[in-house]
Amino acid sequence: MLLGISLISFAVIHLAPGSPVESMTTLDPKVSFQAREKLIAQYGLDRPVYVQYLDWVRRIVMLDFGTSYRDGQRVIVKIAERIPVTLLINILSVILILLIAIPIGVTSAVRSNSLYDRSMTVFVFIGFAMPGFWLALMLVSFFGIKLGWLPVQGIVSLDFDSLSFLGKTLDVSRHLVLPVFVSCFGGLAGMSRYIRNNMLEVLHKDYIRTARAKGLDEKTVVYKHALKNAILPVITILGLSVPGLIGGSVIFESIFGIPGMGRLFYESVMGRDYPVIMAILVVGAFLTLIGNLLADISYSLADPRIRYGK
Amino acid sequence: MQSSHNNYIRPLIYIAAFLFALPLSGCAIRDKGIDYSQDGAPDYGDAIVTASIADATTLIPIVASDSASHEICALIYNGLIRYDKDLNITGELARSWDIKEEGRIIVFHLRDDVKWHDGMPFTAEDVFFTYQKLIDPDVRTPYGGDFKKIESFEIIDPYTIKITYKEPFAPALSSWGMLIMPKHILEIEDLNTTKYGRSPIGTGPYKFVRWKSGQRIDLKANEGYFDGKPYIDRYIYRIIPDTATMFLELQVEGVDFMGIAPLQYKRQTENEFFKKHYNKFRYPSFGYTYLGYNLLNDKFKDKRVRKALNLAVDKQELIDGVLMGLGRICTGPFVPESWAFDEKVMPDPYDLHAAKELLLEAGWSDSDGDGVIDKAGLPFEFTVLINQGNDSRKYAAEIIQHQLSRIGIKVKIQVMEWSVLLTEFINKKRFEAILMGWGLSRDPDCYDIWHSSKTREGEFNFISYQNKQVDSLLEQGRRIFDQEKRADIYHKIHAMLYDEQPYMFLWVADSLPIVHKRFKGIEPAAAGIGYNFTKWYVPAQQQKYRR
Repeated sequence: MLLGISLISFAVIHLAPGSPVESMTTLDPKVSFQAREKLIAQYGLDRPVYVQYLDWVRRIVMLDFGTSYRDGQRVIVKIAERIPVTLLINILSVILILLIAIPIGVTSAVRSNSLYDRSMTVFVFIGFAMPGFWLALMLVSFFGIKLGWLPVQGIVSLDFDSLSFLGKTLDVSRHLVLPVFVSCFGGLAGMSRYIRNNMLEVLHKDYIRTARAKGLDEKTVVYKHALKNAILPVITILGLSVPGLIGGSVIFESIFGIPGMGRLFYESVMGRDYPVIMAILVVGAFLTLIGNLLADISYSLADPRIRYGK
Repeated sequence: MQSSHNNYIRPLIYIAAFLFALPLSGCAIRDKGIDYSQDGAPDYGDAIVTASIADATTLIPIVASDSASHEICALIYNGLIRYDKDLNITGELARSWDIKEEGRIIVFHLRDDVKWHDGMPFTAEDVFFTYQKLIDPDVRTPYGGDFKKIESFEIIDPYTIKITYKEPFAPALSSWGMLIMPKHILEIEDLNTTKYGRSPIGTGPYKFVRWKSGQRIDLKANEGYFDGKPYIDRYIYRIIPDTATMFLELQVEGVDFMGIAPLQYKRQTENEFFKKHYNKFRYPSFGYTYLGYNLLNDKFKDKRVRKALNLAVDKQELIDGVLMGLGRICTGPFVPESWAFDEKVMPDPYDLHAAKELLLEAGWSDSDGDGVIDKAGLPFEFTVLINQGNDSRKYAAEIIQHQLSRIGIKVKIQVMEWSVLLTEFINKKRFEAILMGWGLSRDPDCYDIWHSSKTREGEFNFISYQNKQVDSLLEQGRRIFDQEKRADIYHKIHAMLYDEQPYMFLWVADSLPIVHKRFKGIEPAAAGIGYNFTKWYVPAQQQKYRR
């Protein structure tokens, strides 16, 4: 499966017009025609595409992801530099979404169609519909400039290196407040609606009626019995979102000045930096497969019905 | 709600609130009450924070082709020559030079008091090394072209070199502004991948300190710089990928120096805050924007048609609308600051009537009354291609579209991603018109853009311009060293090209840098403001970054 994904990716990238040489020599009057030809030969771009692909596969098997066409750095190093920040922001964002969306979903389901439910719906959909980059700029303008409470962009301040350990932690967390918030705000709608709908379905099930008939208080019914069942599909969602953890939005990262995977991928595509693009796609494909596997396994662990076969 | 849940919810809420509020603590210091309008004696110290939307790629000067890398390299390395405030060539690593045999031979006398950042002396060997790498087929440099014209390179003594060209090549002197690399460090390295691309050693006014990928590059002043240690102690290059955010950073004094857009210059930097903290500058940039016609296309082959189009577009309206007046009309392939520029070439007036007349003469009229002029049954329609991401070109295209509709010409606009535009449409000449710009090099030699031999795929005469007179003038301009005679030649080229209209020359935009007021010693001149950067300083009381 990995082979298939990589083959298709490689083919598509090479089908796109342009090559790394264009972005290097963009209509620069000092770059002669021969210089361009020389560059193409040096990158091996004049070889037939299937030869380039087989060469790439051979090296990948040795876990050699090659070097970037843009700056000659090893691709592994480039990716390793960018992943931590992206992972940090994504994981924090997911945790925050879960912490906020699950209670919203549960309470909306319990009080379905009430004023509370309806206002929650409006709230999460505002978050969903709002363009993230607009919200980001608005918040930066307000909190960063008008009030001066938060930094404008980046992940660390200019004087980061002279801070104490506590100072450094505080500095990074101050820089992450807005990115994590904006990233989470948009994701609330999906998760909370999902939980809400699942809860509604579960709350109408027979075993819930049984629990109530047994005389259990509403709290236990909702949180202990219903929620546990409603939350099972979330495991699948989390498993499928594993590859998303290493992805970032380039628009988002550009506005907040976060040196993350989103920008790396976008710049590589624009610059036709084939080794980096392929590496990111392969890692993403690999994580998708792993995530799927994890989701399957954990689902069967959590839901006895799956284990014993319904 | 009563049950066991109550007991831990409340404390949880308090903790959550605390954790959330904690990062919000710490306000920004807005106004320190310093009066930056005061001048003072030059002092050493402080740092300057500049910003760029893109990160550098490598700090090996001959391999780097992007502007971010060049900006940093220009501070770390030196060339044999450089341009002074009046755009005359003056010595940098070379003290002086002799030009022999009408320019075929140049003898450079190098400075003997220059040291590399690691203390080793700079000599002619380093220049020879740089030259070898420029013509080395294994080095991924785009700049070898000018240096392949060298016939022989002799090292006469450690501080004298004699370079002989195959024939006199006037831009040669200018080409030796190429930044020189250290032989003793790089001779065993593969320049394409060397680790010194991320930790360079040069002779320049600033030494490399460190580079955090995608975030910042730090440089510090070179105490032993041959021209005197720079006053500003540190140079911090921040990578801020979004221009809107960059402008926001300017508003919290997080950035000291950046180029701003016309809109920001005119409308968003006129308030109290900016007047107190920043100085704005304005001078013509060294490039122009144009509408290029594909001269293989029947419509544009007729010179009368091109002249008519030029008369029908109100360039001043374009400049006022797109650049908010911060630019001037372009009258040819040179910019006003260049000695090749002919001031006698006047721009054509905006004259719709004359335009219509010329078109009629060329056979174009609205014979079917549909509002679009036609000839032999074909309407005058064409598509203008522009690259994605450039707002001013987009607006210009729209204005031109509107203006040309007044004389019955229908213009369509297509926006495309840069690489695609270049490889599929421009290089393959699959276009009717394109709206682009040129950033010019200081030497006016524009052979590569206008000579009829430069029309192969990937070369710069993609409009297929063929004019024998201009060809021969270009060839002469390259071979004659005498600047006065060269100026005559380029004046002629200027006038001819404006008359022939292979491009509709649109505008020369103004450069609009903004610098924090605490930096003194800035003197705008023909070369801009950066030419004397090593002499800028901040008086002690106004310094911001101490350490």
